[in-house]
Amino acid sequence: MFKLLSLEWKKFRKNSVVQMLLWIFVIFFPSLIFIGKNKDLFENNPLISSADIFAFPGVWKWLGWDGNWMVFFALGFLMVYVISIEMSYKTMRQNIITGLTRTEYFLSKLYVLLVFSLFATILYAIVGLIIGYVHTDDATFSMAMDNNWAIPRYFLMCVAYLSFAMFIGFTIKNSGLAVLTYLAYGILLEPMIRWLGHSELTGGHKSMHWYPMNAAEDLMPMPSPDFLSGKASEIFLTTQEAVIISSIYTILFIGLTYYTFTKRDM
Amino acid sequence: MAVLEINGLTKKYGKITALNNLNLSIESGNIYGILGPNGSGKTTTLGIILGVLAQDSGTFQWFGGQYGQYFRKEIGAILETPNFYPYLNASENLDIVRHIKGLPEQDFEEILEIINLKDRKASKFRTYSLGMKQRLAIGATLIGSPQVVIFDEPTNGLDPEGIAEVRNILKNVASSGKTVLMASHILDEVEKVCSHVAIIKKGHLLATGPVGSILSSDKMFQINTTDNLQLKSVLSDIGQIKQVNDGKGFIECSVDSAYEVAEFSKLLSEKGLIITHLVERSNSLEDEFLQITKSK
Repeated sequence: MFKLLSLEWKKFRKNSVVQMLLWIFVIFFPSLIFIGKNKDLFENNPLISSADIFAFPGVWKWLGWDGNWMVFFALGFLMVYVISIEMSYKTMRQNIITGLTRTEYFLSKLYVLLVFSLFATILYAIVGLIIGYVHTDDATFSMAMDNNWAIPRYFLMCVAYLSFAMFIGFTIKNSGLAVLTYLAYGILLEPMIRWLGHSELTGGHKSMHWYPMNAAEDLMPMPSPDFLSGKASEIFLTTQEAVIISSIYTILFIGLTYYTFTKRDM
Repeated sequence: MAVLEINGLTKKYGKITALNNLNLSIESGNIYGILGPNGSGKTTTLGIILGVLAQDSGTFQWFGGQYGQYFRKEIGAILETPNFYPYLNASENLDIVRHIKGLPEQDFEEILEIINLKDRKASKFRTYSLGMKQRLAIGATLIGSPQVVIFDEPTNGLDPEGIAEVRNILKNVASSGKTVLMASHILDEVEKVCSHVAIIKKGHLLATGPVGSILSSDKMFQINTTDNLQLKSVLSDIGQIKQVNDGKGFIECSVDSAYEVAEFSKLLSEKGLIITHLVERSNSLEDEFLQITKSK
């Protein structure tokens, strides 16, 4: 495992796109939540107070939602990139010719996926704890951890997004097109299929929410004020549903990627 | 000892058969040229034996199977174009190859010397000319001094200077005792570098053997007479004459090497033919290649 990870490090540590996306993630993820300090938006706002956003347990929801966007855009983009660019450069093929087995090559990318997810989750935990402790009066550790499994949920969200990104990266051979497909599917295509297709055909049956990007998103959903929670339950999956559906898609995408990659011509 | 055994390899792309029941055995220490026109199945063959393409049927085995699925670590190979990370320099790119092969760290000075890239080792790959890229690719195949090296059209697209430079490197590699497998459509290249040749066309193996034996088996007469029509009918009656072609201003025939020119000209005079031009020359690989690929 270490050998394959250090190989990835050698390949990408000097890649400017990788460096840029990592910096974007590391800078924007902790700072985006501070939009909540905007007085015009949140002072005298009857629905959300600034204190809810930054204190325990609200910080886990808001920071999770912030991370939801950042992981999808920055890390997902990065995941597609580090796979599809090797197809464009034909270095994927050369790596195999040089001596990696296909399974080893696949594992090297899977390890990258896990490292990204772990890194993002640790960052989430650290930033969440710091912001929470600073903004909560008399904060205790048990208060900080009373968050409905937010940290493991966040990890699963990362893995779910990135396994879809990995699938796209291995499937679409042109790197530009791969990144575009990943973003377009998440932002446009899946919502269109759900709301214009599935919803119309099934009369709004709740299966319209059982899509991979939506399930991953609902692991860390947009925080909604308490009095909306009844309404929210109609559009959002429950945590339990999101965990189950995301896990199934994750296994499916990783399995499908491995199966096709070990069979096909390069 | 056979380094590589290929048995009945077949590969189809839809309706096109790229490789048809190919059998080949590569012996240790030989310099093998795989010769064939573009699209004859050379790269497909190399792709299959390197594990990046899947064959439809047939088998191949490297090193008697002793390395299992890790056989590629014992081989240095390039397929088609040189493929490297454009934002890394020569040393960094070579280091990735070393890392994959599981070899200890090294500075690659010796290899960079051989491929004449010492001065540019710190420049990014993307700034290299095609010739430099090709040389780096050859250098990458030498890392860890593998038993077998494979080159695919190593001089393709290079300018004359680049070709000369790459050929010199290839000759040096070939004389170092390694087993070399080189695909090429350039006969001259194979003739100059290789000890053995396998000729393929449309996925069929047409001929294989030592370059010397293919070259010396036949020789060539170029002949012109006052009555070439009669000449042709006479030629068709001579058993030692294998093939007759119309050349530019003369008739060309490949002849059994034991057949003497004196005997030949005497026979023609007896038949009343007046010879205006007669040249004997050894058959080049190019003639051989054209004959073999034309006749089958």
